[in-house]
Amino acid sequence: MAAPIPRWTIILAKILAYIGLVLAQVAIIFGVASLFFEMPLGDWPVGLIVVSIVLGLTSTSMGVMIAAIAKSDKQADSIGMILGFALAALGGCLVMGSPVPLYNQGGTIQLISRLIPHAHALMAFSKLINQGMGLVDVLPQIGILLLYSVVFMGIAVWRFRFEQ
Amino acid sequence: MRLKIRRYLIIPDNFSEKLSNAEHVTLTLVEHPNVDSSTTQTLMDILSGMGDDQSLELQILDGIHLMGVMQATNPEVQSGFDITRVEQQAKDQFEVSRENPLVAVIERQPASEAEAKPAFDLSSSFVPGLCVLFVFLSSSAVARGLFKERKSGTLRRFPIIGFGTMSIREHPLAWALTSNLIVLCSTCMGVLIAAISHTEVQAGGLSNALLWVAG
Repeated sequence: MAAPIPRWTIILAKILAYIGLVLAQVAIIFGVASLFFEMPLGDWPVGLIVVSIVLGLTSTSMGVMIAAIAKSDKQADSIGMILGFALAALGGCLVMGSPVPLYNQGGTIQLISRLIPHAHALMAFSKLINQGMGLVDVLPQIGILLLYSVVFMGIAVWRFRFEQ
Repeated sequence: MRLKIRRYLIIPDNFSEKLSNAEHVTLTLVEHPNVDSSTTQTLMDILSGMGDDQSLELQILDGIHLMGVMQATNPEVQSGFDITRVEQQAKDQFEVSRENPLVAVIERQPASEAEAKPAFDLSSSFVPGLCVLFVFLSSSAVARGLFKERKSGTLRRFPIIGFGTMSIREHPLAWALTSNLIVLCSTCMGVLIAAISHTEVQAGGLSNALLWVAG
């Protein structure tokens, strides 16, 4: 290291920078859905923003963790894609024809789904957009996503190498 | 146990009382737009049959009750209400109930906001699902980007460039903003180079020249 800066600060800075990009991504998706497809966004835009920030934190923490545990850029890419789709499927992001989300379908699949951060992000969005709930109601989901972020970032700080 | 509600039936207040008073009542079946239409039709048939039966029963009973009242108030007409007369009265009431049933069953989709709230909205579940999917897929780009930086050495040099005077402990948001601005500037420069270049080789040369001169 060329300067006496703890490595977690650099990782945190990287995460914060990518959160900006994630927020832009969320804003574009919801903005287009709302403007062109008249999708309701609920009564709590502040709640949506807070959930999006926490979601960005979780996803970028996961990205940094993948970079920390992968041995090459191709491996990181593959792990990221596989994890991205597999966790999205288990979390209920790909269940689009059912009125009941995966995390509410009961049984083992509900248990598995609720172990995935995607499900908690979906749950938070669903509460804000579909059920007319407010920021206080999504605090449990925000807490769980933050917990995932801390775990991912902890692994990243532990395993991250700044040099090849 | 969690139940899935796809249809619900609205029975108006004082349903039985209104029927007894020969008032028309309407049962409303509210359903989600995506429910199975054949099941809905079966349900409508069942409801209509039950409604017709109840209407018929009440109208016949009302007719006989009316005759009983007339008989009680005027004993002289007792002979008029023989078995044939009662049967005829019941048949008449039956015809009336068939032609003009007191119970009507209608089918509709949720109209008001309050009714529509529990309904499933495809866009509301589809879009957040895709959004969360794309957000988490971007973690792959984060990992790839960090690897590239590590490979090129920029990650190691990161602390000694322009951020040197800025303490991330005190200004993490300023740090993030600066990083985003650098990303924005470099991307815009890339787009500019692509716009003014005629070939791929020219773009590569131009970007190298700009980087060396600017750096």
